[in-house]
Amino acid sequence: MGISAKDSESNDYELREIVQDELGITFVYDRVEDNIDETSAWDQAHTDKRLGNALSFLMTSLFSFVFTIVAFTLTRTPENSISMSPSPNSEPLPTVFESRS
Amino acid sequence: MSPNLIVKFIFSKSLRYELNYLSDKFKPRKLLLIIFAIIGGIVVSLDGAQAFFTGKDSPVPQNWTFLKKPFNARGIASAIILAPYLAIWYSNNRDTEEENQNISQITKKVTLPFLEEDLNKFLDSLCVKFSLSNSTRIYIMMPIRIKFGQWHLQTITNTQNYDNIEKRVSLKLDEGIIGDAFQGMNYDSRLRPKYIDITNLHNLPANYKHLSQNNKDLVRRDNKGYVVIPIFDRTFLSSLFIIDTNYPNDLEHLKKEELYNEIFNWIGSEPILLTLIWKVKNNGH
Repeated sequence: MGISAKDSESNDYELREIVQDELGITFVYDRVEDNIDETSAWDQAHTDKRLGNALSFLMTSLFSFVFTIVAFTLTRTPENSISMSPSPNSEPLPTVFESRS
Repeated sequence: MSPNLIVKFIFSKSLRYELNYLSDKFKPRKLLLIIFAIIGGIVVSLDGAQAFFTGKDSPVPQNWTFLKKPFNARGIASAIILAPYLAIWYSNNRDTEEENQNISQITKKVTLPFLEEDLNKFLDSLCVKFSLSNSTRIYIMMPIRIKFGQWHLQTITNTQNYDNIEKRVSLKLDEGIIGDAFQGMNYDSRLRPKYIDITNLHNLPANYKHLSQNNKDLVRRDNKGYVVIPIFDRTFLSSLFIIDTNYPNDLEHLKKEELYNEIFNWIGSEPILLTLIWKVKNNGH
């Protein structure tokens, strides 16, 4: 069965080259594909997933950036607190009656 | 640390495994959530939440002076806002930890014995088919995290003729025959078995790194040859499939093309199981 957890994995492999190096002999194989469509589909799905992850990361980063800018702008503006009561130091607003008199 | 060592570390396999491990462990979105929580906590505690304690219409009685001080109010407001985030974060971590423990138990009790049994059957079939002796052993070694930036190759499963004491062998990623072979492996090597004859030790490469004394005491001393095959799960080199023997007559058989064909088919084209084991093993269980 093997560690691919498939019942039958029966690809053919073709020896292309034998390379002798310092440590030993390397046998270079090529796979004679018999399930290339399945592999391509997996590759495509994997690529799509990666693309999705990258987009998600970019969107989150962008949102984080905007969020940070807004947050710091709010904390740095002196009039950031929304209050219905007038400030004790501010000039009273002129009324219509005052302007007529 | 000298510049040469830093450059060496940057291009080392250890760093690649470390980054892979860290990307599994710390998801960027989790870090971003923490940043949101902190910024949100600061912003809200500076105004609205703080006003709950210090504002004119605050329900907090005026004589509770401790809560009326702006500094204390800000601290308490931040804590109230950050607490749910931290609680969720902690709870998620605990859940993940628990899941990892369960997967780890299943791997230990079910997956690895299954793999070992399969490996034994496979060795038996190879011995019959290629007239290999009983001295031929198969085992799978995998990079395991020892500490930050330090990874060692350790045996995760083996055939029954593999000595129990050898399971304690822990090779640096460039140590010994297996480490040396491992260093030279990349994605292009996925279908490249390496046959290494060590009957003549003078043929070893000049930069060969000998086994540490501890490992030397553990491994079978009279090995004559190895076959090392990388196991890739797509682009990820998760482990090494290794055959060794101390019987000289086996060496000729270990060079047969058909043998490698059999091994490739046993490994399969999607050995995701070993990636799972890699993840479980490296989550500290």
